Amino acid sequence: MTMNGSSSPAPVEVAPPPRHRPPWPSGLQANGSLGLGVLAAIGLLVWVGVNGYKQTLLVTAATYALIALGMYVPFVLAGSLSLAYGAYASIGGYAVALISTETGLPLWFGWLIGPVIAAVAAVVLGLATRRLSGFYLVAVTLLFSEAFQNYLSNASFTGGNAGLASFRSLDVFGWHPSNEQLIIASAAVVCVVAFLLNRLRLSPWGIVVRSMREVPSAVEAAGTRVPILNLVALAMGAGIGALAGALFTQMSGSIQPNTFTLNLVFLAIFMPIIGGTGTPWGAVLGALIVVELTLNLPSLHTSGTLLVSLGVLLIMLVAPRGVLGYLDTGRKELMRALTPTKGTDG
Amino acid sequence: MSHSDSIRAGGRRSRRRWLAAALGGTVLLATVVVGGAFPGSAGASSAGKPGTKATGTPIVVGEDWDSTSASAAFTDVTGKTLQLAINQLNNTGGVLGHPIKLVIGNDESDPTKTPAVTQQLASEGAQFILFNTGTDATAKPTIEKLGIPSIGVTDVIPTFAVAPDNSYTYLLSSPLSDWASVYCGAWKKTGVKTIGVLRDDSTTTASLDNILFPALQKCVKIVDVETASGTTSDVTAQVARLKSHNPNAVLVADLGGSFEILAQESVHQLMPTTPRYSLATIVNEPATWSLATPGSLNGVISMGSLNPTNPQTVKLKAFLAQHDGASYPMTAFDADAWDAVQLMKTAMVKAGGGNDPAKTNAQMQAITKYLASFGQPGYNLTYSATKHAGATGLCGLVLQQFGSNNKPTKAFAKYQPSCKTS
Amino acid sequence: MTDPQLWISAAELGCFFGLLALSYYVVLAGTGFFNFAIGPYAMVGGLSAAWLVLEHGFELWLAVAIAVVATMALAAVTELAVVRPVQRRSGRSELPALVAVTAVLFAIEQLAGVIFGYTTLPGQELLNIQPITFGTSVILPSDLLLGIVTIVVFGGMALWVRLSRTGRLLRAVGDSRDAAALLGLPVNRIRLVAFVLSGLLAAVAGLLFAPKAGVSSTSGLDWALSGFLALVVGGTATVWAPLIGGLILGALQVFIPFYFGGPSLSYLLLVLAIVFFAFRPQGIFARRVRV
Repeated sequence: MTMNGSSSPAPVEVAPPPRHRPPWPSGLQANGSLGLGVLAAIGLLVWVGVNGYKQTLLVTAATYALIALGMYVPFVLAGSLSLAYGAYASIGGYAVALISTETGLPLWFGWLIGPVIAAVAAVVLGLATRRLSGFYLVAVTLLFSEAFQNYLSNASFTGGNAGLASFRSLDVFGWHPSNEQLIIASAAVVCVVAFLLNRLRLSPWGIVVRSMREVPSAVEAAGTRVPILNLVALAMGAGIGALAGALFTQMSGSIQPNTFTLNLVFLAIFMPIIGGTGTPWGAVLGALIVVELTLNLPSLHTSGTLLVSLGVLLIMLVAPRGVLGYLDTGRKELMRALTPTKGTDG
Repeated sequence: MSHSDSIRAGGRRSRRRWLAAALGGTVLLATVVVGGAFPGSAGASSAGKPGTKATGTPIVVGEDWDSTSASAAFTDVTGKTLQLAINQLNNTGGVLGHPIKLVIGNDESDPTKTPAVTQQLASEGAQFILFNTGTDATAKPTIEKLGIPSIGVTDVIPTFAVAPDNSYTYLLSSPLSDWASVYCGAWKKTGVKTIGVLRDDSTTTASLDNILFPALQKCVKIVDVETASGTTSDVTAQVARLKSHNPNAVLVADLGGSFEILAQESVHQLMPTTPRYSLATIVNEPATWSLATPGSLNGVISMGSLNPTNPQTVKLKAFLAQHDGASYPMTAFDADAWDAVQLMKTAMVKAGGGNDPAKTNAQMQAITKYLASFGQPGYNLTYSATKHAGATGLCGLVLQQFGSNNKPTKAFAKYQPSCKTS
Repeated sequence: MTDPQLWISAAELGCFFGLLALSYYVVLAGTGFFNFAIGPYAMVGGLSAAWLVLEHGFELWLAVAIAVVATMALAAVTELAVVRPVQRRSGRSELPALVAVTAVLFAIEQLAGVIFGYTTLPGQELLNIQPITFGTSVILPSDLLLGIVTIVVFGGMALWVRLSRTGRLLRAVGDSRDAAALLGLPVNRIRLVAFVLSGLLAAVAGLLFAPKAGVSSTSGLDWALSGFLALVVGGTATVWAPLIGGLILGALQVFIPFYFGGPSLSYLLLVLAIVFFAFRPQGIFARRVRV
């Protein structure tokens, strides 16, 4: 932008060579993924139909997907691995449970307040651990999960180790959604959250967060405060995790301190890795694969977790960008094979 | 090599790796799709071959068997005997000529999985469900929706058989209130006025204690309750705290297995003269006796339910000896499993066949005075529309005591429950 | 009013945690990496020996030997097939290696369940003497053996690291991998030695601790975390630091519940971890680099 009266010539816009321009504008990329995601969701809902077993599978998959999406922002974008997600999911679940059993407040209030409390908890934990990274952060968040689970077992208002059960059914200003409607709503929530996270990832904010992971000093130099960004990422992730807990608790009808086990949290780490870390939809795909392997394959006793662990190792060694990244590479290879090449990018 | 040559070589290498991964991935994908498109088909195990006498169309019965979590110590015994009982049933005519086909799911005692596994068994055509897991109570809403009669085979917590959502759910074991009466009887007899409790942090134990403690407090004062993690390797601190309260007796409450043994050993070390009681029925878990150091279980009084003078018990022991060997230590889990299958068979036969769950359910509620394979001689189970827990009186329970060889060698001499309703 | 039995328990836990921490220390020194799979290694050591003896009637010392060798092989495979390729590929970022070792931890735990079953097996007593009683306290033979072996192992390691060529190479590589590579030191060989040695230490720890409360396929995760904490608290200045860290952690695990009861231990460990990691991540005995 030149200023009036400046003597320097207006800068000439040089069009960059075509192959440096991103293949799709970011908005289109996000919308395109959403379109594919919604198509897949509709396909799944049709497959599920009114089969109770498949419905339960879908709800479990939606819960896992939301926890994985919750971990996506801090883990994949900001590069900090926290194992506190079981605690955040429990907060969401217990909020719904307590609102239902202890108060006369409408149930959707529990759905709102759970994520808020979880976000606050994440910020506090984030502040306490802001100097930590890698293995130390994992260990501290693991201890936090254990301490929180013990707290749930011992606090007077949480029903102790026996937990809480028999909740009211959801009532949104007089509309009582049926089971089928709730299932569709869960799939929709997952799609919406994945879409929003994808827009976020492609937005300037998302790019700053990703740069923060690689070169924090550059980000600081540009004027953004890295610690604040980190806390926002953590809060966002915790809120989504709490949403997952609220969903599962509402649909399954009970919650105990050990409902959202550490096993689940570890699986949630593996989900974006399996599906692909390039986009939040990878976390959703990873969740579907994990549910398939751990719940829908009765061949060997509990071999689901074994298959998932081995699968993760295989992917990290052979296809580190996950299934989606792998398919994307395949697409590029295909296009390259089909179009005549010029120059030296053979 | 020129620059562009090396780039091309690199491109070729990565393409080759991509193709190799594609092959591996396709194989994996194929396994997943084929395995998943037909849920249950890969793993459904059928109950032996239909015998020479039952050859009609099979009746599908589901079993939710947690064979992989910490509860496997007792679910495996139950599962094995359920299978034996069904094989026996099929070899002697089945249900009006129809064999029973057992389909098995595993919820790993995980409350997030139980509803899904229940649904899975229903989708495979189950007309009756046998729950052999620690989390059967979480399936109640699902069972109510599906309308399939279900038995919590070894469950002692009353929740499974009481409202809400109990139209189709049944229990066989004596309820906890009866347990409290038996303990109280023993304590009154032996002058125990105060007890200390050492327990694990599991959901099952907590639910048990919520019901049991108020009943126990009618006859003793609980001076201290210590809770330790179920996976801990050391409870010395907790036992030391218990000791400082000087209880007349110690009650250990947990899921059994290694925690129970660790707890009993620690109490034995630190409080050698204090009588020890066990809520966890380790008398029914022979696999865990070898975990204990020699002599450390001597004197432990455990709630059991087998009386060798009960003719039904004798019959079952003889049957099991044929299949598991003469030295097989029969436990209450074997008795529960056997009786569950017999109750199911009775209800199905009286309903005219096993393929109408509503009729089978109605007939379950009409079973009266079924002679149980456990308890004092003559002990029976009775159901009705308002009584879904079959126990009738205290004499379904037997207090057993461990000897110095770490085996339950005798019934507790100082007190046994008599057959009067609590 | 502290019962001597409490001190015996604390010492026993302390020795076990110390050995696990030493196992972490060796890998850390050789590769700069925290190998969380050490918990499952210890579990495999204890569980496989028990399984061979109880389910297949193997003679005790043969089972022990097989268990130790199997664990060392497992450690070698972890390094060669997982950690080295992932670290090579991911450069400076430590997250992929962390996730990979977590996947290894789970895979070992599940494989152990499939092979050895899911029930807790009793640990095998390696020393057959009568328990030593004094007053109301008892020292079991396994307690005694664990204590003696711990002292011997730590002493041996201290000498080995100072006197043997491989030991000194280990410290050199740990101090600066880039410098070591520049000097032509066999970095890859040292890495492998570190992993295999850590497998050996973990197997010994698991074998000796298993008699206390039995061992099952899921014991690995808790043990991994305890060993890690013990190392961080103790520090890496000397070979003995992990033992100090382990003893401190063992004492906390026994005395905090004794004085405060209930869930106080997990709350305290959380606070301790946050404080220690944030303010003194190098542990109590920090290595001072002479400038």
